[in-house]
Amino acid sequence: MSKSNLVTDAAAEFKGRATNKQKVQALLHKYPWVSSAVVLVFALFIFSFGNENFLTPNNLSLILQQTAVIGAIAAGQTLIILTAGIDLSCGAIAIFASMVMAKTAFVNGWPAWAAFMLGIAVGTGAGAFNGWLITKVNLPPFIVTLGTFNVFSALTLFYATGRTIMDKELEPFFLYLGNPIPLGEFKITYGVLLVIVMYLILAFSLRYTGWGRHVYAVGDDIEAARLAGIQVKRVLMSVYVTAGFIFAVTSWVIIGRVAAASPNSGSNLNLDSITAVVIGGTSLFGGRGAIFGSLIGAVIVGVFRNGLTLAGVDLYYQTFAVGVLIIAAVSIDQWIRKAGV
Amino acid sequence: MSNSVAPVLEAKNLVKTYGRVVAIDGADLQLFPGEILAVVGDNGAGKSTMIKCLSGAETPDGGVMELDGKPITFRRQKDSRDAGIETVYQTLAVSPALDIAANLYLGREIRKKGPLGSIFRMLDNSGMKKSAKEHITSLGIGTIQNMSQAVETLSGGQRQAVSVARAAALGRK
Repeated sequence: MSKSNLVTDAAAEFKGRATNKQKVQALLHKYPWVSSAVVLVFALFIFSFGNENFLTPNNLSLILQQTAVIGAIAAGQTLIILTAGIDLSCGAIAIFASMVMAKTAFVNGWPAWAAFMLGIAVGTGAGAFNGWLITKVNLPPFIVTLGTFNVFSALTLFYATGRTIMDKELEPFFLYLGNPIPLGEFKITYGVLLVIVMYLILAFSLRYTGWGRHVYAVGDDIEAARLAGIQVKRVLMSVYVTAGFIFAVTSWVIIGRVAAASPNSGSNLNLDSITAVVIGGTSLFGGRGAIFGSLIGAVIVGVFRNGLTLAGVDLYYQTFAVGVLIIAAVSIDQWIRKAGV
Repeated sequence: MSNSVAPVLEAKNLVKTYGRVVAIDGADLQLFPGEILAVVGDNGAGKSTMIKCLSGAETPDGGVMELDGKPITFRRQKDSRDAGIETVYQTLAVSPALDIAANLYLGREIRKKGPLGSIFRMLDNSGMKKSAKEHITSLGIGTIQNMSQAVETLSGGQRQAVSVARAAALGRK
């Protein structure tokens, strides 16, 4: 920075006007997802040089299909992280629910709608169980979900007896979300559409309802929220139940995407969802962030993996790149927080 | 103080213990209409605990509290607030990332009129901002202008003002 710049900055600070740096900080403070959106646009630009097929409708549709599952899980994870919690069991809940749906339909011969409803109920119940342990037994979310991650994974393996249920054995209803919507050259699946609708509903609830405001308040400062008369345990419980429901709906997206229900899939969903949320600009300390950031975060990870693959970069470097992204995202979060103090 | 006026708020023989620690041991308090009462005491004397009991943040283990002569029990803040008691806490109890208007109406948000509010549960943000501004102005706090400012961007004194405004503007008794 030149000397004259320093002087103008100092003068602006003295007059109480924002310097450019402070303006950026304030903008990111208000809209934390902006930085991830910038990264996404930048990544799309860079990767378009890596391979001429990258920016084709076909490939972009593929990226969206690949990120739909992580995006859906990340939606529930965002709610929990906004309350300063964490859910390590989210992927396990989704896989458990998918096996319940597939097995009751195929092995027990339940009608598709009944099997689907049971799967949704089991997933929501699993979320409620997490919420119960956190709000009533007063255990930290990290410990609770680390435990239930193992419990739900084990239950899934017991229940499924290790067997994958293939697409030929499943009714069309379960595979429906894997079908593409005819949109010119784009092949957006119904699963992608469902995830986008889910985000729209959640974004509305978080931004415009009292419940959404209470979710932020609880994550921001739980004691202040309690003293302001918010029933914090009820808010927390509602968040874990809603998240469980979202994970259960995700199980339907998973079956549609992989065209099978497998008890062994989705072991990396737990951490990948947290990655998407963090890259999307939501603070792990709670109370800050926007739900759409997580969708952008999930897409960024998808774009990086896809773009690097098409550019012929080794898989190890892809994982390396995602790691660097996470650290960069958290650094930006810390910097934004300084704007407040 | 004339005896003809009944106290608004009265506490008799209030007891509160935390495990083996006795925080308040049979305290009495009378607050008359329009009165400003200061509770003075050493550190750890139980002043804050007493206020917390009267505002519902803690539930006393013994004794009775009366509001306008009627016995009251507060299980949570909302109960005391519904009864018209507001509190400014030492920690201010403001939510740093939320804006001023959101903090003023935290826990008692106002919904939009009509189906937008009743079915979609939408908050009346512009209405809350407008009345928040009126409350802040009526308290003579000139330095706070923008109700959409996050509370953490305010100075310590301004935060205090927000906390006081919340209690003063919205309390009834």
